[in-house]
Amino acid sequence: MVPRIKVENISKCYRIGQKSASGNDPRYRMLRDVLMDAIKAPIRNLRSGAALGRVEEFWSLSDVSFEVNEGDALAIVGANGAGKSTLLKILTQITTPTKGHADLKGRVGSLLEVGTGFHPELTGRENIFLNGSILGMTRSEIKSQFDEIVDFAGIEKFIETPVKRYSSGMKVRLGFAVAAHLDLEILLIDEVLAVGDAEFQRKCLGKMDQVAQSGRTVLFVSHNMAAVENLCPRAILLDHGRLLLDSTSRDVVSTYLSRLGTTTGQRDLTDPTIARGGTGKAKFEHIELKNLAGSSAGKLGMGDGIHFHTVVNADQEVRGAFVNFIISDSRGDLITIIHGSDQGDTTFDLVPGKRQTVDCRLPRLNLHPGIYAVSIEIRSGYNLKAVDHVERAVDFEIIPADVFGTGKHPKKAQKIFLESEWSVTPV
Amino acid sequence: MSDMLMEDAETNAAQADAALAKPPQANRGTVIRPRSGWAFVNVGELWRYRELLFFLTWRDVKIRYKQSLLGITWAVIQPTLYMVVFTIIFGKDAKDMPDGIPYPLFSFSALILWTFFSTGIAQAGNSLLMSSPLVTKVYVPRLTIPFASVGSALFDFFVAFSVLMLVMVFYVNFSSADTSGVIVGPIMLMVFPILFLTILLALGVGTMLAALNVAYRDFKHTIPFLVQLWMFSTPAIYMSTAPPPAAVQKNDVTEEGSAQQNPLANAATEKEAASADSKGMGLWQWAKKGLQLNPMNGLIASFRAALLGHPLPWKELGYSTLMVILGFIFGCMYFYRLEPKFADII
Repeated sequence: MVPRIKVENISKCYRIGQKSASGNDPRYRMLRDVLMDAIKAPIRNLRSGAALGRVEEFWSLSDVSFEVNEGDALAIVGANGAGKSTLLKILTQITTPTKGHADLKGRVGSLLEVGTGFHPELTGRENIFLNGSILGMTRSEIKSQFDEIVDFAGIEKFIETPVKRYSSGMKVRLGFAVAAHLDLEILLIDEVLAVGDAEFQRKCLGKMDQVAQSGRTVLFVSHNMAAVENLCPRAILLDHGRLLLDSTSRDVVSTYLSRLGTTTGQRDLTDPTIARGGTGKAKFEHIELKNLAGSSAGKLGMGDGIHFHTVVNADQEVRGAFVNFIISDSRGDLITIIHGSDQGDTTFDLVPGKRQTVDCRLPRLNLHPGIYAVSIEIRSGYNLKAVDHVERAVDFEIIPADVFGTGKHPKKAQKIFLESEWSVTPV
Repeated sequence: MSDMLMEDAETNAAQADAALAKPPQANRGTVIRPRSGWAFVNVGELWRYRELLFFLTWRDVKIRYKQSLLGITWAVIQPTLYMVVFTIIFGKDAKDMPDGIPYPLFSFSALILWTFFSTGIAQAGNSLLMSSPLVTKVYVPRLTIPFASVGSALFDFFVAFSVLMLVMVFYVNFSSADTSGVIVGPIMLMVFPILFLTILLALGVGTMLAALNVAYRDFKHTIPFLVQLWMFSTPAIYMSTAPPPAAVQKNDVTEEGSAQQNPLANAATEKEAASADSKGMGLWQWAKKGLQLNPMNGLIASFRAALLGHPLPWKELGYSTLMVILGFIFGCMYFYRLEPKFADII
């Protein structure tokens, strides 16, 4: 078997740190900064003694190698910031590796976003041609498959309507329809399935399965573990830019989940390697899960109460801040958001340099046994922008308990249970 | 109802399957290696994506004229307004125009080429930032993006050019041969090579601006300013750069005469120039010399001359050609050098 994709020692380094003269993110250089740096640099170097080029390096990928054969579907699994998207961006040539090389045999198509290059003013027909040519189709290929694309997207009536009048669902369908008709040997897909409704997601999964069945090579990045196991027999696990495991997707998924399982119930969040989002004006420093008795607990019985305890430290002022606790299952599917403003009506002002604790108690957790993840975020009450966001900050495990008082448990896996009162009366 | 939907989905899937089952036509491979430093542009790849270039150009043209009140006439309005302004300001010296070209024709013929060039570089300069999803979400040779911007400006040029043709026909038919300033002849065909050179220059400058714009975020504020400044440095647009006959003779002597053969004579002409300086005319002369470094001067003067059938200023055109080729190669290579970083910094 010939490897379709051969990746050897791919590494990618981003430069971070060392703020420029104006304190801007060094990625967004201003001409002004360059000029200021040029003036300041000699003085700074005199002071700090040859600190030239003290740029902090961040290796988003280091020494990743693997091969994918013709007709294989490989999933790339890993936490946020593990380097999955970087790897995909390198393989699609969007960005170049710092070291190493990769060889891809055959035509490569990528789906990092559905409908790239769609222009709202153009009609559906015009956008099909535009998007098709961006994805690398020739005009004659698009022409010959035009009717099928329109059919697949189900937008016959609106083909001469500008895309700006489409619903978001129609746009996504049209974008996927064009991509699905790409005639190629290698398909690289990133989380596109995260968009669209359940119906559409099923259609996409079916389509991708078909692509893999028809001898194409598929590389699939996703947080959706169910989709990974369904679609790809094989998977690789990335962790902090390194390839940790290359095995069957069942193995990889379980390793991934168990590694994430920090079920000690607390975590220090000041670790700089934690991937986080938001403006960064304030940051979580610590999270702890407690039982209602007040002791730290990573394991809770079904139906027990839980107490979230976090410490927030502010760098800059944030007014009207609130904290959300986001509970999802181990596959990454959202279960519920415990919203600090909508549910708790607790907004507070963050003052620079001052710490604050935020506590939230849930009297009863109606979750079935399993591992659950808690993501946390601070939002600003004014623009609702995320100030800090830590995905999967801590996990907890629900262990079976006789909540129903029947001594029985359901066999079928499920997530939540609801209190119920029954009556059976003969009539 | 849902059953029908399912059926639909299945037939769709079957059709799509048929499409996928077709043998892939070209077995292209991709080799991914680190790239940094200067390298020559991958021309073959650019050629493979020529249809994309067409579609992007077509998109830019379509979008510009969709939902705009005056539509395509915008392409004519800008050079026409400039022409009116210039005719009011400079038109009174129209009698001094060489070879009796009417001033409106004199300025309009230059302005359509200048409008193409300035629109082209300004649009190309902003093109990458405007279509950042094309840079961060998919791979296409990024050179196609600023190239397409120049392409759409070229479309405008041809619209304005047809209007200019009408104006010329008007002048030729309704005024005598002396006053129309248009001499119909084969030299007119030189318009096309000169246009081609202008396209190359717009591509070179446009791609360089696009790359700089991504690398340095505040560069976009300098682009309109740069275009303005460049227009003022291109006096060929609005005034005759041909020196009066006496000066021509003198210039010929100083520049080409015995200068190269005899160093002593060279020194003598320098003295002569210095004495001209002391007479107070020097600064203007030097400024004029400096402006000749601008290849647009030669291109515009040649374009106008060719269009109206007058003899071409070959020396300036030759010099401009050299600058254009250097500018085009440098612009593209600078862009190509920064290209690997675009997705990381845009």
